[in-house]
Amino acid sequence: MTGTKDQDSFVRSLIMEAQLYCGEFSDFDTFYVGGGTPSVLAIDDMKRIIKPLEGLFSFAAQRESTIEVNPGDASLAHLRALRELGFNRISLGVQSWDDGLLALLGRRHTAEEAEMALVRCRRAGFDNISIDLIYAIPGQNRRTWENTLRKTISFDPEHLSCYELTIDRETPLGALVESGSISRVDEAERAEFFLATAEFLAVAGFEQYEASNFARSVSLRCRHNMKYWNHAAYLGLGPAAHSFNGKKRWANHRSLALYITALEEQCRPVADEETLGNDELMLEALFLGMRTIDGIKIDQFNHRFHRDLLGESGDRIGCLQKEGFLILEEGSLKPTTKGLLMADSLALL
Amino acid sequence: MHMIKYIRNFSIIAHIDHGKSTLADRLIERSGIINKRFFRNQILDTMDIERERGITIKSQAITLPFISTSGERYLLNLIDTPGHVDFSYEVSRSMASCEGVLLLIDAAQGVQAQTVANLYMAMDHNLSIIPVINKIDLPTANVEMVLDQIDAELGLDPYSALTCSAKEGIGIEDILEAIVHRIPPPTGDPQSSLRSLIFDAQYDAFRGTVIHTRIFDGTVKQGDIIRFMHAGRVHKVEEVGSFLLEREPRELLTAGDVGYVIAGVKTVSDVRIGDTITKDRQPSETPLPGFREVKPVVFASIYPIASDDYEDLSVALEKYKLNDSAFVYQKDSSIALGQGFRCGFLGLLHLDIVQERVEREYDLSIILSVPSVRYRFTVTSGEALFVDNPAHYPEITAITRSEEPYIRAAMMFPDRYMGAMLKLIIEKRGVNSHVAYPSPGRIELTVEMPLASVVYDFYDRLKTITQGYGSFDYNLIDYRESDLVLLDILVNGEKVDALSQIVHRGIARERALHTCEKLKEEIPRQMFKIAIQGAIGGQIIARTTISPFRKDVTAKCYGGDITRKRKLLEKQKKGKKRMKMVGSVAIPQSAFLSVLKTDES
Repeated sequence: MTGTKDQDSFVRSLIMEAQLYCGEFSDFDTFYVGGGTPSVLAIDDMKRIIKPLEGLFSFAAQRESTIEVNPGDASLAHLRALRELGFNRISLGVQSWDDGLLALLGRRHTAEEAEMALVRCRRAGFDNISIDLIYAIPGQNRRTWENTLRKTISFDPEHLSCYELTIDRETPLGALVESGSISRVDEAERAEFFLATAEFLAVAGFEQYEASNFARSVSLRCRHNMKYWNHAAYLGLGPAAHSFNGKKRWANHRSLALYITALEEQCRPVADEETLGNDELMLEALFLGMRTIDGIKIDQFNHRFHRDLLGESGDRIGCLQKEGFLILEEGSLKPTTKGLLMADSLALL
Repeated sequence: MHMIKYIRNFSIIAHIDHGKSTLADRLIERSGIINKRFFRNQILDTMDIERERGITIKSQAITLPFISTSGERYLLNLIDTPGHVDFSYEVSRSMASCEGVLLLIDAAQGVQAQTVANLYMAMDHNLSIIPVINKIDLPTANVEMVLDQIDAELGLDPYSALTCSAKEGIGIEDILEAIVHRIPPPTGDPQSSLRSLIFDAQYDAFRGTVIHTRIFDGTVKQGDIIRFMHAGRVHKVEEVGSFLLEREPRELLTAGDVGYVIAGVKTVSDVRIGDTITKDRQPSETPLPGFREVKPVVFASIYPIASDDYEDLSVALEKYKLNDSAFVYQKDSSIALGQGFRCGFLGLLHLDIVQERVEREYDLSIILSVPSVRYRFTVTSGEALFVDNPAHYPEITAITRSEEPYIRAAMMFPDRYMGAMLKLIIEKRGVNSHVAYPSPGRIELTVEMPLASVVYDFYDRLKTITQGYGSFDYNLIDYRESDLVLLDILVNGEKVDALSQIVHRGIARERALHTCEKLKEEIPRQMFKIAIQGAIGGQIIARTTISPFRKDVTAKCYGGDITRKRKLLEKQKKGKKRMKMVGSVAIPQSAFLSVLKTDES
């Protein structure tokens, strides 16, 4: 968005979209503002979105309300206002503590700004802070990565998301990789980064509850993101947002213009929609479940998909257990750390 | 009925890709029996595979009306012939049905091994030979060179040669006139006992087997009781006729005619190519000469990738067999690959065709075991055992003598490739080679070598070495003593019996290494380490390992990523279905095929 006019129509459209789904979803116990850079939206605009939403949908009293914040946009006043609006969790896109790497990744903030942002978040009263980091960046090695983790946990975050680098063509790094002047970190080394992260954070008292997510305690897991992995329903509003009601999944127009136009014509701004069959839902449940430390609850799975997981794939599961990819515990099939690394293959049992 | 003197029976013979089918199309087009608008390229090659590969696999026949410049009306029977060494017996039966041939030679490539082999065969049948130089429109055409070769290498009169461009339709008229004037009309006595040569048979779902035949003596009509002299079967004729674009029933086929007979014969396997049809009453005393039982020389097992498809495969082979009498098969089972079929083929091309047609026409994914020839083992009891399946390799201690089939191979190529070709021949265990220089710059190399050497990627190598200029023809000669061993391939300690091979000891290690390396390239990395080994008996002679895949989990998987991820996994799952599980290792179909190929180097 470039001007206030755009922001106006965006806010109006978003509320119109919300009205279309009013009553279709049950109580919301999590609320998440993210994707892109929501922190550029002025507090007034944010207010103009949140208040009507609270009128249209019913929210649980103890809702988790997260907002993604760019370190560069995190003034104390802004953070305080977010807190007042009811946000109780901040997800801060730190990514790295190295200004050079940040530039390579196409990030607009500096390490110092990120440090300041963290301090301000606490000062604004946020007691549930998540930090995003990126590993397996060309040039990074295990020692520099562990230093990154060390510095990060010195801020005592409640939650960490550590993502393996996804190369984006639009970034300076993407261009360098594309041109061949920098090569990607190879698969064996990426696996090493993953394991090093898991080990380092385990020692520091974090639980790896999902392939890329770490929490200080079970109650500090991101309840919102858990919905994706647990295959629960969610409603996404705004351009490019995705929604799932348990049977159907739909994706909104990516283009803001198309999104706004659709809503002006009282249409759902949906670009793609699919109705999922039993096999599709089952495959999703498998690969999502295998990403999480809780794995797949066998009874629930069998009941939901009319299957007999152990009966049908017992040999394969036995073999995967023996090789240390899976454990069978309390009626659940759970991936080990080694298993989390191979979640996709595990899903194909 | 047409008078015999206005009938001409001829074939077109040529080396692969010298333009046989295109010329046939032009002749058909010129005869006016088909509206040009509906002309589908290469009418005689009705199968898709044939059109794609540009070769004629099964012969067909067609009758072309033609009015010569002198105003006489002729019927020209064109008998198409298969263009590959695997089918040389079928070619010989087609030729035996003719009085003359068009010997087609590519103006750029000149005389090739199959040109020579085909010429000899035509000479054996005392056929009139009309050399035709095709593709004269090509910028690389060198008619003078070809004329010299016709003189020096074929021993034919270069002045008898015609030139044409079948593609451009140039010279077609002259060819038709030459057929009429230079090929003699058939001879034969319609009053004698029936003698008719079967040169092909095709299966028709409604009528059963349609027998393609050339009448030498006598006549045949609906209601006649006929007998196949070699097979000894008796049938009642339901219909006789000619091949126009479709079958055209006629009252009678008589001496000199080429046509079809439908006589309630269920499958083509009930008909032997080369057999003689006579009448049950007043039979001919002797059959026409040249009959031979067609015996497969290459053997391999076929397994469905999904064991659920076994029944479907069984049905597919049964149906396929209806139209291919040379193909033989029986039930077989593999420890690693489950239920399948052991099949016999005339050669590797034949094997390729069967594989491709079964996969394409019946939508099945199949795995082929490593092809084998038929070996002969003499055991302590003195008994000689023929073994074409490595699974039936005799007890080692009981073998007193091992033998393998040998061929005499003839190759032609420009002399600049002599060094590389000799190297290939040595590698392929060739012996008693003989070199001839049919014309300046060209070499004809005759060599005796094991059939097994040819089965394994010989033709591809020859083509590569000679940059496409080399050609090749062979015939089986005898069995010779050989130092043979059974090579097994193990994946994670489990024997994959479809990859077992009987090989000469001298190349066992090299073959084992090659197989291991090929498998390593084709088997995708999996969650576990995979060990691939080659073994003779309990002795490991080659090994390689595929390191495990360690990380496939993607960094982010939130609301918007799920659909994409699912689609990706669905695709992988589908790919996995095309793989064969051996123990816990998924082996793709391509791995089984890659083992049969050598490296480009």
